[in-house]
Amino acid sequence: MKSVLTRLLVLCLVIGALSVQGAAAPREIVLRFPSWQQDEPGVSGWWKEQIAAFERARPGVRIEFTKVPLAEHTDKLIAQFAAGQPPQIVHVPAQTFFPFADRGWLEPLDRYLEETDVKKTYHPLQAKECIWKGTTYCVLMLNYGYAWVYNEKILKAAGKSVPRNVEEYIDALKSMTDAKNGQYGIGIVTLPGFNMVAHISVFVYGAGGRWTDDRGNPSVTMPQVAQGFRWWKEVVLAATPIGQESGRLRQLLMEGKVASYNDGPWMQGFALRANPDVKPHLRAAPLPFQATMGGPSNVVAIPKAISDDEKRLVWEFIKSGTTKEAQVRYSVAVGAPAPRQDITIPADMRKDLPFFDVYVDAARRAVSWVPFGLETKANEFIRLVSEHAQRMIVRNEPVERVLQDLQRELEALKRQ
Amino acid sequence: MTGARGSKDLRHLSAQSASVSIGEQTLRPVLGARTWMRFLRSPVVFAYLLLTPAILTMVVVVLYPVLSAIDISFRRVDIYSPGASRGPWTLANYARLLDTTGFWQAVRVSVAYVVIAVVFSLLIGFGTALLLNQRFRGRTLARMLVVLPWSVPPVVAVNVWWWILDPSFGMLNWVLLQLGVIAKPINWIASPTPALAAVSLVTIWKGYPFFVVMLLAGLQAVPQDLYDAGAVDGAGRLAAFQHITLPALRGVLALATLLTVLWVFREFTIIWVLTGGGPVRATETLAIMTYREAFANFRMGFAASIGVVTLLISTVASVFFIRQAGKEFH
Repeated sequence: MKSVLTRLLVLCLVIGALSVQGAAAPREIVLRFPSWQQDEPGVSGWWKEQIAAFERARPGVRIEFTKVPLAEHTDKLIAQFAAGQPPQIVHVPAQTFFPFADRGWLEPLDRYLEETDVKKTYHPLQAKECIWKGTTYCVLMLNYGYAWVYNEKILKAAGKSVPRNVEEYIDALKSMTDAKNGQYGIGIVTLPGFNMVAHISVFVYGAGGRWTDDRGNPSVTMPQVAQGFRWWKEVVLAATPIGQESGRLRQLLMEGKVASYNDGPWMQGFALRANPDVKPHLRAAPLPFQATMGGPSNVVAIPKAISDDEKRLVWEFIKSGTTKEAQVRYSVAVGAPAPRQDITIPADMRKDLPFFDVYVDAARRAVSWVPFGLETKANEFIRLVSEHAQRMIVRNEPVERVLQDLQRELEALKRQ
Repeated sequence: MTGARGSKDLRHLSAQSASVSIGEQTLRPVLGARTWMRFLRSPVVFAYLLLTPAILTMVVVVLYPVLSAIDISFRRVDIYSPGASRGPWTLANYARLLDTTGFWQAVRVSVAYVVIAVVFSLLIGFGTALLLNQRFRGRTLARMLVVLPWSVPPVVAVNVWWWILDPSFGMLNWVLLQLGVIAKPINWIASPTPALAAVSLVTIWKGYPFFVVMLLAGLQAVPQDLYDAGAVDGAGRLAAFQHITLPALRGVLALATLLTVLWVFREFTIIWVLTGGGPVRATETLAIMTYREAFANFRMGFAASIGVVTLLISTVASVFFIRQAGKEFH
């Protein structure tokens, strides 16, 4: 009996001590921030610096920066919003931003933006990409253009030089391919999803095509789109390892098994991690098409469903990234021009970014591949384009016939 | 002792609650205290009382989600939010389902996938169980190794197989090319027929050990006397297998087949990680289609209607196999 009483007393003391400690400890505010960039070379370092500075200035506030693969990111975010549990910091690819704005899930940012000079100093895409039905819902993080990153050693071994037009480009890719020995001229994503459509867009927009016309109607039967798909199909069937996703293809470039890759400025961060025997040979060149695919890359926003205090904190965090100093560091981190137009990157900060000038030029020339008119149905648009494009390569169906089917399906999607 | 004391307590409580006063009125219960006691002492009622927590858990965990899914399947719901207005009931989702070529394609793929995976798992599992039922040196080790695929987490297993089946850099193509079996690499993941073969192969590899375990246990339960009596009657090995082993294993076979059919029918991880349902929907089963419609296209109502159809098909299969399992072996 005595033993039991002693144990009870000890238990009460422990619980009491814990309660006192719990009451004394200040309540921590956690802002969840899921992003595919959490471990992306270059830009993840910038985010982590921003987070550290923000947390230092606000004791008791913590930003939980977690990794979610890009392929799953938008779907997971939509599920979280639907459940009424969105993360406090919303980071989405620009192509999939509009469904969130359209459903009224995001906080209007116009009154917040009055505290900054974003509207005056940012790239025009800030106004085009972040405004939905007259209201601003996001802040642009990056606008970009694609470039051709290639292994100069393999290109020279194939007896080719940097291509100046599409014909030379396709010829170079084929010449660098030796499939029997596991060597491919280019890595192109052929697994359905966002990156597959991005890679197709390089050719479609390069040929002068557009996913939708000026009125927002599907326009995949225009001759330029068909031309782009023909180039894409030719390259995929002759010069790329089929059935690979972007992460694996970048890795193959770093290992020298793939000779080139079409990608945005973030590629510089990956290139720094290449195998020692490959890294010195990696170069970047403009894509030899009449137009360069690109546009807005990703945006940040605030969910409507969180408390006003949290909204204010998230805004302070977003705002801290829009200053001149932060934008200069951002530009260096991603190896491309930041959205803020009134900054210059000092030469000493550019010396470790060998592809910087190519990507500055690419961003300047880039044409946005956001399918305006179908922007609120981005997921289904991506699925339909991916599936129809796969028919061209796995069943070898004629490009024109597949595009007619795709046009019908996209028109039906627009009517829904 | 406890039971008797408990009964006394119950009687005491029942006597107290035999009548209830509300203001000036006295309400007498319809049943008397003794009748209640007799009712509560009934073995059947007592059994149900013991089962109540389990039944309540089932209602919350199983029945409520199923009924919710059925409810949503009859409504136009795109993104389902708890508490949000669901709109009126409609048959639109089912009409659309029957009119969608993707649904019939998914049904065809599901049937082909289930048949291939279950039949091969059964044959390989049965053969392996018969072998492992023989006495030989290293039998324990062999039994352990055979069960190994079953214990590997699906995502790990599929990633290993992805590496083996990789069309450009995979080991399988390399071996086949070296042996001269094929002239050029096969696109195991990116061509429709090989992709279905690939997901079936991985499913069989994961699934056949279950048949081995179940059938081995069944084989060990067959009395040796039956084989001895059969031998006296002149039955050979084939006749003994046909007239003793197979009938003796009917129940186990039906149960193992039912569980495997249900497992393969709702299999998601292997297909999603290996092919994502592609290429061109060649490996899109009903389970994958349900997920895609619900969480990629965000048409929850439509996805729920696919789920309800899947549930119906599973129920029919279950009834068939349970009846087979119920037939006794004489």
